[in-house]
Amino acid sequence: MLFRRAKNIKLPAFLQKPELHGTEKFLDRLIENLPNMVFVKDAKELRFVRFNKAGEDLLGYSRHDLIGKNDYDFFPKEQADFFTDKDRAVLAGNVIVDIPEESIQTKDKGIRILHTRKIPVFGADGKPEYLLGISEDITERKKAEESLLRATREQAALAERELVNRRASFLANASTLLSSSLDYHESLQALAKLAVPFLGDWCTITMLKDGGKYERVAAYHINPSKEVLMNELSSQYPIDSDKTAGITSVINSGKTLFTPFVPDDQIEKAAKDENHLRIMRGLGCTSCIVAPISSRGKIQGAISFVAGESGREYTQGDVAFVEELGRRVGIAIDNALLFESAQKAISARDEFLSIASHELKTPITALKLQLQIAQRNTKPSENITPTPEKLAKMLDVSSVQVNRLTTLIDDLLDVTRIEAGKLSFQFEMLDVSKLINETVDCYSEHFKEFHCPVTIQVDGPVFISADRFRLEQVVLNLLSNAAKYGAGKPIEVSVGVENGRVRISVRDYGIGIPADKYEKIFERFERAISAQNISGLGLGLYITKKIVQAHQGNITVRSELGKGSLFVVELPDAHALHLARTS
Amino acid sequence: MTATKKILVIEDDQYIRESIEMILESEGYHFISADNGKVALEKLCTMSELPSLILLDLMMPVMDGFQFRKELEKDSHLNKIPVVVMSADGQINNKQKQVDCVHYLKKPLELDDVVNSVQQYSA
Repeated sequence: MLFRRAKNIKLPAFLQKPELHGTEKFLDRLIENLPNMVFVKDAKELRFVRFNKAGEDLLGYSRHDLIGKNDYDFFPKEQADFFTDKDRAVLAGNVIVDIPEESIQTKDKGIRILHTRKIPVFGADGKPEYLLGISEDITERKKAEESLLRATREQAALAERELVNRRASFLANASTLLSSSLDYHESLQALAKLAVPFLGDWCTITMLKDGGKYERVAAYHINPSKEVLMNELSSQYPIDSDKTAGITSVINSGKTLFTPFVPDDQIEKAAKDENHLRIMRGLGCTSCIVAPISSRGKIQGAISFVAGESGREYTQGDVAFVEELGRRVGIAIDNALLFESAQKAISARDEFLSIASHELKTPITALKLQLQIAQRNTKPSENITPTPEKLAKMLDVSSVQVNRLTTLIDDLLDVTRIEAGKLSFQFEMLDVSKLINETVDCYSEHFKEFHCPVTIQVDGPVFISADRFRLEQVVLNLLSNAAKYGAGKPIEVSVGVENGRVRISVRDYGIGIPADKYEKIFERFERAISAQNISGLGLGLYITKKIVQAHQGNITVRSELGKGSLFVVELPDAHALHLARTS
Repeated sequence: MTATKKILVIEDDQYIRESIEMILESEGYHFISADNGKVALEKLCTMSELPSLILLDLMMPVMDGFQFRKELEKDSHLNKIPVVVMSADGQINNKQKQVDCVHYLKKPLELDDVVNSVQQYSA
């Protein structure tokens, strides 16, 4: 009777047979033998009115203990609250409530997990009279599920740890490799080889060269039979200057290009022609990462990893790792370049010390020999002295040596002052034309020694604001060089004004300077020709340029080998300088 | 007697060259001078009597001392002339191995050293 009134429960066909109607005994047996816990509570006080054997086994209480009691008599308060809340919800809503998981404290089996359905059973008045509960003990199933989940998680964590270890180990190997050689071309090819297949099926490394050109410095494919295709790619399709294309866009923007899945039509679109498409398809490209190679904020190139035959699909984790590798490569290249420039600087310094030693010892030798000759020829006890003519000559030669030494030391001091930013200037208004005439007059004897006649072309006074001593130094340096390298041919000096700039030019018709040395000759310790062939410290043009720059001017050179050189100094004229300073 | 001996002085610095000439003259030697190796070779080729000794600077324009010494080696007669190298280079001990010479003088030169080496090594 009780069950037949339950809403939503349709009795199975065999129970609807007439001979079974009203057979409570049969139903009792049915309920009693169900493997799930079945209980009935009265709707009013939620006391147990019925319990089956499975329920007794599960809870550890006999039905005699349970009947007439409620949840608070057996279970902890939180559990009892939970059960009764659900019961009330079922009875108030007149609906079946499904509770997928609920914990219950049993007498002998500890806490068990139940899957429970609660069903309202209606009285004749249509109101809920009873609450029917059916609970399945899912504790073991839950344990099995949790155990499986834990195992899966542990496996994933282990795999993650292994990946982290492998990546750390790879980075350590890569760092060792990168620091093992200062020839970074060699290191990068070895790195590409080391990274495949760990990071992809193939790898290329492209560097940005001077003049904005790109060079693919390394390429490696896991499949040796694809080497031909890699070579074809490198030789036939060099990285072009199209700034929007993959690798170049990474180098120009400094941002990683990540394509987790590369569809074939994208390869088709990117291919330059049929041959390029054949090569790209042959190499395989299903997923790719192109990361920048950078150091100290400067992009030096890009490293790309491509998956093809392996079918690997890159993840964000791979992207972060490749970016880290790009940074390490950048630092290694930076170190190699710094080492290279340090080596050059050391070599330039050694050469300078050798030249400085030679240049300083030359006048000292002449001076010393002259003094020793004078000593040898002077014997006061015997009243022997050199003739006045000989003595005068010795003193002249000695004086010249002291001047040579002074000039050399002045040059060295000037360089030291320039390096320390302490080259000071006393600006005054002066006439450049007059200064040039005076300088040439003053050193006319010196130019005669080189057999280089000097002609001056000036258009009257030209006033500028300058340091007299330093400007004279500029003119003298240029004239001395013209004489030194002038092969005994004429030297022409001119002064003029053009577009508010004073132009001082010094032309010789001597040995000339190769075009690739135009910039270098203004650097410290640099000469266009080897040190053995010309005396001097190689500091003159460096000092000259620094002085000109301090006057807000610039110096340039044009030259032709065997035909001579033209040095042009441009300085702002007095009026232009005044305007520049007041604005 | 050393009076008849002739010394070839190869030195690009005019003042050093003239100083050595003065010393040689006062010691009674004849001398011939050149401001680089090329000029020296040309003079050697036209000499009827070869010099007893060559005083050779290393760093010179046009043809330096290293090249000059190699050129001497090509001629069996010229190669017999003893060579004394004069150099301001601190690394002369290494370079001496590259330049075949009987002695080297370190710049700045000492007058007595110049005189002694000319006396000792002139053939």
